[in-house]
Amino acid sequence: MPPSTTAAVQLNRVCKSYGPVRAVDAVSLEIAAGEFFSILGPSGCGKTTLLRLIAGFEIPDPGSGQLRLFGDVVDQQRPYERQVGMVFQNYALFPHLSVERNVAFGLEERRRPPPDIASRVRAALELVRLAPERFRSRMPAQLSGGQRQRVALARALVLEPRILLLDEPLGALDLKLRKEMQVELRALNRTLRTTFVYVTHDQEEALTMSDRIAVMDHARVVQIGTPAAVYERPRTAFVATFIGDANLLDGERVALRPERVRLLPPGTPANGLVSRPGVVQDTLYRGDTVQVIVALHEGGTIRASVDCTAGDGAPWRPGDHIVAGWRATDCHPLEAEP
Amino acid sequence: MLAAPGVGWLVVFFAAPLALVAAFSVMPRGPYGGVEPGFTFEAYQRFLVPIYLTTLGRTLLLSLACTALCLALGFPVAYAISRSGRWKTLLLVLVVLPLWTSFLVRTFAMIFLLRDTGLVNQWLLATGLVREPLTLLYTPGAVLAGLVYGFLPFMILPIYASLEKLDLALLEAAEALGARPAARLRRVVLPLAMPGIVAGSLLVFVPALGSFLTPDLLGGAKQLMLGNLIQNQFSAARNWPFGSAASLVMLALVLAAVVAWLHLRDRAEELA
Amino acid sequence: MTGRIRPWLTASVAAVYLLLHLPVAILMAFSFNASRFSAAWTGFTLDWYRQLMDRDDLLRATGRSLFVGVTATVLATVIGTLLALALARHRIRGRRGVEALLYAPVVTPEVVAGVSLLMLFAFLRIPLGLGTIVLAHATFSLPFVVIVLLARLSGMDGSLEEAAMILGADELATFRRVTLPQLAPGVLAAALLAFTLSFDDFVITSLVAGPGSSTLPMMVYSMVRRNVDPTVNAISAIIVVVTTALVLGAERLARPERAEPAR
Repeated sequence: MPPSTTAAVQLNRVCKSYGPVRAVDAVSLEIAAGEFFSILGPSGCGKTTLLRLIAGFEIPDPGSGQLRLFGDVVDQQRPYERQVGMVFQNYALFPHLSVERNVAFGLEERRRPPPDIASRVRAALELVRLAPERFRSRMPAQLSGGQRQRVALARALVLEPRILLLDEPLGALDLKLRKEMQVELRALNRTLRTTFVYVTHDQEEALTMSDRIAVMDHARVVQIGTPAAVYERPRTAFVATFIGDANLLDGERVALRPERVRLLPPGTPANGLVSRPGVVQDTLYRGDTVQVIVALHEGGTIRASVDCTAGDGAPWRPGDHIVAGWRATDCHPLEAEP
Repeated sequence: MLAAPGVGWLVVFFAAPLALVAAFSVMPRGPYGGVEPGFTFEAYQRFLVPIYLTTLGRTLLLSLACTALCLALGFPVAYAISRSGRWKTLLLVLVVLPLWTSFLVRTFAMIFLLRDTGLVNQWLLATGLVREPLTLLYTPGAVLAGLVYGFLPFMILPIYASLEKLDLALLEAAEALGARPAARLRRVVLPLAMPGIVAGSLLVFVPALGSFLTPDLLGGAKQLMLGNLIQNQFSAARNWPFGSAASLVMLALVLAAVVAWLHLRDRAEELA
Repeated sequence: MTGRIRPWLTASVAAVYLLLHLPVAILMAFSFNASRFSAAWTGFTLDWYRQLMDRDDLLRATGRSLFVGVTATVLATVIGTLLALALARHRIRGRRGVEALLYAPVVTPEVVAGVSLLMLFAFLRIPLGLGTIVLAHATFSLPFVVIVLLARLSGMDGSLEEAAMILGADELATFRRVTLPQLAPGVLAAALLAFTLSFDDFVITSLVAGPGSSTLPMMVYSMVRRNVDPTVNAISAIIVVVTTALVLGAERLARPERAEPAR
């Protein structure tokens, strides 16, 4: 791949091994400046290693590909030379320093004059919505998880990095807080126009926040695309089932999303739909939708997702005879797993 | 490299001196007690006389006896601590505290009790049990008492550590299956405590082997242990090769004990 | 988890605890005994303590012990911290060998260690004196310092150093601003341990001390040997109280840092 001067991050067939184990296997990708780019995958897929390669805590295997940040080859650069910011999974706040000193750490390292530091710290805390006067002198041990997370964010952002790396930062927060932070992170990305590289195993999170997603499995990048592209047109069965639910038909060669499956009373004319008769096996009420699991007469099960518009729960009960129907075009062909 | 000063220091001040000891042990004795160039085994041969062999035997015997006694006394204590609930920390601190007191002072405390004008004799005389003071000091018994007194905490702590992992439910299950107290002890508690017992034995046996102060102050000239013998060669007796040879013998014993421990430890872990 | 402890167990355990503590307690109690010849309590007195004040030789010996203790502690702590960091954080060639070299002094009997150092100094023609004592003490304290610090380092979070580095601090700045403050309580505990080991040492010290460089333990030893009057009890009591206070103080210092950060 020729060096692209506009790409914030560029990896070209980068590998990282630990002894015989390949953690990152010939990964190539490009992240555009200002983009919110997520790296999504199950535990152990190599996403954190990939992030650490970008940060500089790991070095690519000798002889493997290159890593460029804004066009510069950085393979041998130490983390403190890279001008990249990072928010760690456990926040990594310095326990012996106050919130203010934590946030000021990088600025002090750069020998900025104290008044400058003070005003920047205040601005950073306001940016992450922590009232500076209230939180300045607190110690990390006195903060809640959400507050620590914001401090970690402020500490990284106060240095105005061109790239911000985030390693599953919302994992420890409860659901409500997590959703709030997702919105805030997205907004920060927009406002600051900093490139965000976000690692997560939560596919819903990735879909919500990202401009583009790279799906990883077993040290490889399996698919890169916008959330819609990855969801509607998954390349492999792995991607199809990892992101959202999917029905895998025809010996795992075709994926069909549950929301594309319509449930019709028995005897309804086909009307251009592919239809298969079956019996309702179970219904899972989710509030806004109902998941209906249908055991097909021909064998196997199909999962359908139906909106609850009637307002009185599921119209079907286990044991009901039903016909599952879908448009042929709703089926998406999958590639074989490598 | 970070490690260089530390490794360098240990090589110069620990490894090299031991190498010297090994070298000197096979050199002839010089006129002032030091060494002369040459190669000979006479230092080792010097060992093979009753008086020195007795010392060696006494050292081994006292060390083993000390270990056994510490085990007998220490196991119940460790067991009690592990079952003591909220007193646990206090009891543990009380076990560890003596370790921080100067060994010299503790040994003197023993002398103070055992000597002819000491407290034990005072009490014995006062109660009329004896008419003259018993010679308690400068006996093998005194040395043994001093060794046990000194090293008991080293036995208690590892056993306690093992027993801590003992789940009370296991004992209750054994009881439900009909095992009586003695059997429960034998078949549940003991195997689980094995790693601690093995570790504690090593932690008592090795220092006992190498002890100097205890036999010196409590044993007098008649109850020499190997440590005293060695020290003597570098003060009054002035025989460096012999002292070096004796040192190597002591190191060999320690090494044997450590190897035995490593072996037993793996077996003990399997049991637990 | 207080099961049923049978009475005989309690009794024998109590007896053992008495065995462990009574001798020293009695020793200290009798430092106030008016009788010179001990064992028979004739009255309370502070005379023996007063006499200690006049013992210039003891005071000088104490001064020497302090000097040796502090110097050896500084040496052992600095070198030991570096070694512990190297072992904990970096890959070292011949790690097994280093670990063996580190743990061997712990099992080596003091007599052998002292004797070997004596011969080293003779071989290198280094005159015996306070300096040789310092070198010896630093040597046997070193493994303990490393062990204490390794235990502390293994509990420490490597991500703090990484955070510092990504914020722009190079290795030296990271060490200074993040690692060292984290390590400080452990270093202090290790230093106190090293000091206590040094202050109390007799065997090795007596072997490598030169004439005129008697330390406090050496003086106490000759007092015990000669056994003239209860001033020995008095000095012993003082030593016990001071070292116990030091150790308890060290424990206190080690405690507060237990408040874990984050999460």
